[in-house]
Amino acid sequence: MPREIITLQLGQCGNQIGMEFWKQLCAEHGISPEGILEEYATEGTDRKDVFFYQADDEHYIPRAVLLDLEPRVINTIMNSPYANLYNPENIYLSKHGGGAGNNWASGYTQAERLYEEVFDIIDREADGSDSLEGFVICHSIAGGTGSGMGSYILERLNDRFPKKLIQTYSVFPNLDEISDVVVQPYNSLLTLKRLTQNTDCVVVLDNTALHRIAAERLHMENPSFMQINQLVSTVMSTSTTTLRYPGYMNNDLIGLIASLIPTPRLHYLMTGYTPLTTDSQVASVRKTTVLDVMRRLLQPKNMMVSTPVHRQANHCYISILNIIQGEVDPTQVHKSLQRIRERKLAQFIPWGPASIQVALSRKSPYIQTAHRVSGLMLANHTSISSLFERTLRQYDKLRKREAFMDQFKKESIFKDNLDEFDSSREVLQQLVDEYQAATGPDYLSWGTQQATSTSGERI
Amino acid sequence: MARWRGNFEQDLGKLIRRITGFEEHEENIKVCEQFALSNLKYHRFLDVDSHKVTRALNGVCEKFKIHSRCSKAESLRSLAEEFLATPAFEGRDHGKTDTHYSLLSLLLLLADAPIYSDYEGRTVEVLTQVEDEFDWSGHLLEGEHASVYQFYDEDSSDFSDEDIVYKEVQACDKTHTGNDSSKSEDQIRAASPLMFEDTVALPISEELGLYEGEEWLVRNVVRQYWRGLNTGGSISGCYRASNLASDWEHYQQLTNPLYRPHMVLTETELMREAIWMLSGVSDLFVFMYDGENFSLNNDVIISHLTSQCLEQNLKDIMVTGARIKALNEFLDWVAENSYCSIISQTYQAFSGAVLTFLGNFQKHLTAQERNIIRQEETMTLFRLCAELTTWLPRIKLVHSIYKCGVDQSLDTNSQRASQLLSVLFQSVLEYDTIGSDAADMIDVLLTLWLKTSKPYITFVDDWITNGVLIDPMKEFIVQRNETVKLLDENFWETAFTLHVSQSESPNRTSSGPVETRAGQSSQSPSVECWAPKFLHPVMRDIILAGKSMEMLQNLGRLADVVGKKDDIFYRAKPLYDIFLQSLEESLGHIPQDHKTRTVESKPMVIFNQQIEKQMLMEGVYDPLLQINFQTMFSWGNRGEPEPQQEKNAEKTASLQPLELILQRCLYPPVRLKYQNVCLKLVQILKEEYHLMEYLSMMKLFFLMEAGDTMLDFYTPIFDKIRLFEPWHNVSTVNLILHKALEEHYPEERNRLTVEVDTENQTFRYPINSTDCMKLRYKVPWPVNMIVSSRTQDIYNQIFNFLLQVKRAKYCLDELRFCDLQNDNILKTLSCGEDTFSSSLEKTVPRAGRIHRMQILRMRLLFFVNCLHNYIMTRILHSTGLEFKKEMEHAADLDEIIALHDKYVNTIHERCLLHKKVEFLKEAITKVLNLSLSFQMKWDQGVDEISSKAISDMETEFSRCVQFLSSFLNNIIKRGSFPHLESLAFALVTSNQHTTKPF
Repeated sequence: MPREIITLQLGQCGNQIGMEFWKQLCAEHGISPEGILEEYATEGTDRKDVFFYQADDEHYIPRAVLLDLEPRVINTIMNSPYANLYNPENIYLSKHGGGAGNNWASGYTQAERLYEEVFDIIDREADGSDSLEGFVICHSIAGGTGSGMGSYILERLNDRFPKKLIQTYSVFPNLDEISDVVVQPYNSLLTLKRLTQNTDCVVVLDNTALHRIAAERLHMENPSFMQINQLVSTVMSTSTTTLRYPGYMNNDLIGLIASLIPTPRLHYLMTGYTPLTTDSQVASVRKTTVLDVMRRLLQPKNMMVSTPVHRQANHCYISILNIIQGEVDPTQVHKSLQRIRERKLAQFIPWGPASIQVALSRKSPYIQTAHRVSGLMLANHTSISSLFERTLRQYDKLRKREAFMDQFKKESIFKDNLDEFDSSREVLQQLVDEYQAATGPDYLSWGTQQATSTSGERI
Repeated sequence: MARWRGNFEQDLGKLIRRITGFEEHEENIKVCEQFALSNLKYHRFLDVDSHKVTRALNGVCEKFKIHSRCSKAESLRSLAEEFLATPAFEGRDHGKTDTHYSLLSLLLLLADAPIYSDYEGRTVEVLTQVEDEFDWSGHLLEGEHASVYQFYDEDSSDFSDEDIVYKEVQACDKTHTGNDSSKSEDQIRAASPLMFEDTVALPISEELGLYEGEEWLVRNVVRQYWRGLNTGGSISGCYRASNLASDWEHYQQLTNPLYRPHMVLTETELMREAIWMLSGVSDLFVFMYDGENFSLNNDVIISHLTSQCLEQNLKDIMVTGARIKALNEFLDWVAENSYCSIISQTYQAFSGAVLTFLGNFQKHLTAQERNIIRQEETMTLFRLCAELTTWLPRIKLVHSIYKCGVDQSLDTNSQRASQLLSVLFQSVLEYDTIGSDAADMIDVLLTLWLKTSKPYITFVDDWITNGVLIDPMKEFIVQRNETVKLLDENFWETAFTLHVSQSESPNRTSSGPVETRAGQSSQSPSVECWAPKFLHPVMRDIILAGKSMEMLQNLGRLADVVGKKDDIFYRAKPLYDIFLQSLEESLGHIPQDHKTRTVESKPMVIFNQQIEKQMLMEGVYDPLLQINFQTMFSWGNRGEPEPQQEKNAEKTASLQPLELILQRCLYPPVRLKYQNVCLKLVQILKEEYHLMEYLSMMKLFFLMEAGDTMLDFYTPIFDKIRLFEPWHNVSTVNLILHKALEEHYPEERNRLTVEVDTENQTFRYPINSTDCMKLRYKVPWPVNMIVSSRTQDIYNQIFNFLLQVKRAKYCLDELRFCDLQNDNILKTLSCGEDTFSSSLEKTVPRAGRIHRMQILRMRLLFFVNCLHNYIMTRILHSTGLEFKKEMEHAADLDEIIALHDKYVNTIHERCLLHKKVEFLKEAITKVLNLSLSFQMKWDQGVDEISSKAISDMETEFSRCVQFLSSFLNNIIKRGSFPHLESLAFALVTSNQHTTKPF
């Protein structure tokens, strides 16, 4: 009775991330690109059935659904060594193949149209699992397919599987490449409304930060998408490591997430990972201790979300979960926690109990790393709101000029009015407000001051 | 010549065959025969010529005269004439026959140069019978006891012939235990002197014929003073004054008809009586035995001593006599009862040692007695006492040990044996501390102790070397408990019980082994009490090694430790021998025992030489065999150190305390055995009986290390409870468990089962509803001694607690925000009907309540997570790591069991299940319970929850957390529970924000 997780990869970005993710999982479980278990991995005590299932010929198939409106990335996957890994029935390409043209509304409308076919796949996949725990969605919020189609699927998933967890790995656009997709504030705003209302947890992967980390931490001049995506896949695989390598704790996704999220809307998580290495880089060997790793994780430069510093001093952590991999003595963890507390390295919310929670996890025995200890941080931090504020500001600027609105008005959802934009903006503004409120002790009585009832909302 | 031709022809043939070696029918033999015959008949051996013989005889006589040996010549002539005149041959009545002459000629021919040999006239030959000085019986009996010592049969010990006298006396004594037998007394009197004559007075017997029998008897037979036969006037002097005493006596006899005449004894007689008394005879004339002490017979007087003076002189001897008597009685008792189970082998060994000791004393006595009998030197009573001075304190010592050590009042043989050994050892130590002054005593004591401890050490040896506990008399401290079956999980603890007196405390026997296990370093008091003292330091090792041997035997792996693998005939050298050898080396000598040893080795050498000679004669001499023999017997000779060395060693030995020497001699081999055996057992358990695997299985399931599997197990049950579905069904629960196991541990499905105990359904809190589940893991035999059902019970308690925590966590995890906010159709109704609640609703709007519920959820979740984290990481994980590390160094099964118990108990305690921290547990249970009720409320939807209910929950939770965190804080400040620190730390951080009222 594994608690299965189905992965949905949407759009160009989602599929690229997903591809790296599966590569990583295959390597960690000792599964060949064809899905066959390697000789050396037959004795493992890991749980492959969370993310894979076995076909009749015993080869492993990922519980993954690949969706895209244009064939480019999926074709790349199908030409890669991993082509035979996926269940071909789970790969869905829009027939006309024109993509969404970076238009949220286009993606949304197309998804509406393809609803039956897409959900045939998802239903089949869900029926194939014993006790489905939830869905993981990989997408970007800036493009057309990932954001538009993703938004639609999120809404529908919530209807169809109200009790299942929905976690997304959402790539936020790179500020430096804002010119690439000018309408990305529209796309982001509209997607963020669904992410706020229809998901249980959003892991924010800020492209800006990823590039910065690649450049600063890994000393790469022009990091390729693949290298960036490797960072993402590392985060994704590490955050699911306790599910795949069972131990005393955190053997289900909900147990992992539940403690991080205090209230329904404050479910945007930042990530940090250390020590970071890539294949190209010769690993600089250094001694890693638990304290070392935990301290580095708290440094903003290792965060995979770029937030403006010093903008508002009282931003703080709502909750932190550190997943520490490697041979670790629990007493060390305790000592490190004490040290961090003494040094006040982390600022916590003033209105509730908070501290760093630590989950110890095993490492994959098949991947050799130079580091004894490595760690991933999943943190719920109020400064994430700055990303939303930025989106709001950019949206406001575009909206003032009614720029590029024609493309959206073409689609059915905006045919009559632009209310959707307004409601999205309102939801996002409320989110920003809530995050702001959470920085102060008054958050406890925050609900009473809110005159407007949010009873209509459904997460 | 012709008349006896036939005879000599045959003889000739024989002669030829003998000389030449030719066979009959060979041609050569005929040639030889012809030659010899012709030689005989025609050349050399013609008929004798009397004249020639006479002439030759005369020539010899003349020659003698020339050589001025007239007497010789004279006697030769006279003898020849006498011979010739004797009618003896050929049936004639006169001499000078041919035969005479031929005999003479033969003699002349045979006499080769008669001049040069001296000749003395024949005298009357006196055939002096040389006394056989060699002590044959001593020789034959020596070494008997040392090599094959029979504990049942003490009679075969080494007695010289003198001892046989003693034995016989004793035998007589024994047959007539009643004192009424004057007849037996007579027998003894009559028998003993005669026997002395046999051995001593042999030369006289030759002259028997010279004297009249009467006189001889008077001279040699001891007068029967015990019958009142006085010597009469033999001691009367020629002066009147000197006869005063006898006159007075005479007068007394005449005047007083009731007067019993005093018996006047000679000092020799008195000394003999004294010696007999010291030999252990109680029916004596001079000395009266009243069952405990000897006293002087008042009727006896010595002509030259007053009775007071005599008594004074004899006091020591009498006391010693009584002691010897007591010792002899003990020996008899042992000998009589040796076949029934009353007498332990230790007693038998002790009596054997005492017997040897007394035997030596007897030798000494006999020597004295012989001196007296010989009458070659003056022996006086005073001298006898002086001769015995060295022996008296020794006898006193032995007797005192017998008195203290042989305590019949003790209940069991084991107690008696250990009492005896302890007393012996104690006195050895005591005299050892005195130093060189008591070297003599140490000799005696050490020998006694060594011999007495032999059976005990042999038990130990048999047990820890061969794994068999042969203890027919039940005297060893440890006893195999026959009622405990093999494959019993309590085997290790109960298979052997200590012999402890039943009356002392009935529960002690059962708790004894447990105590040894619990108090590792310090032995249990019962062991302290009843183990022989000298074994105390290694008693634990011995018991563990013995138990391990038993285990190995039951596992069928005894061969691994007994003997070497490549040599099936190999037998380990007995521990006792090792002990003696190393003791010899460190002491340089072993008194007494050492002597017997060297004596023992001598006959072996002789034997060896005899064999050698025999082999040489037989012509089967094999040098290789000899070398083998030499190596075989060489160890026997090695026991004799150089005299010089011995002296040095003696000096050094007296310098160091005996305890140290013992530590070096006895304990190392025992410890070595212990290490070998126990390590082997541990190794076998770990490698072949998968001990570590079973332990990790316990960790996987009972302590939920296999988080995923256990998650699969408990989530369906939690879901059922949440939905109020019945789940108390053994088969359902088992089905769920087996389904969960299917994925990763399919082979464990047969072993792991769940029991649902629905009997006691009176739970205080809903959180306790899962407590009825008990995991049962079937552990096969050798391992279930470690993972016993008792530890499984503790495991189950931990499991139940973990289940509670997991349930609380699961309940909170599964709360979805949407469930809380679901529209409830009853909302309007409840608002309308309940004015009180509606008024509350107004003050706290719906969104506010939702928010508060969410915050409360977060706080509860945080608390439960902290607890969960603390238990899973800080307790289970790190305790497991510690345990694993310790297990790698465990030396014996006892330690493993103790470690495992400690491990389980530590977890039990750290999971706050211990009684000491019950109030903490109470608070935690409250919070966990609150989580459950919170979940129920949540599931009903926000509209069903009044803000008062929320406040109640909030305050209860705050109270619990506050209590816990402040309490834990105090604990940390005291530093008494270091492991609680992390929990306290987590809770304190969670509590900071609540410092201001909510």
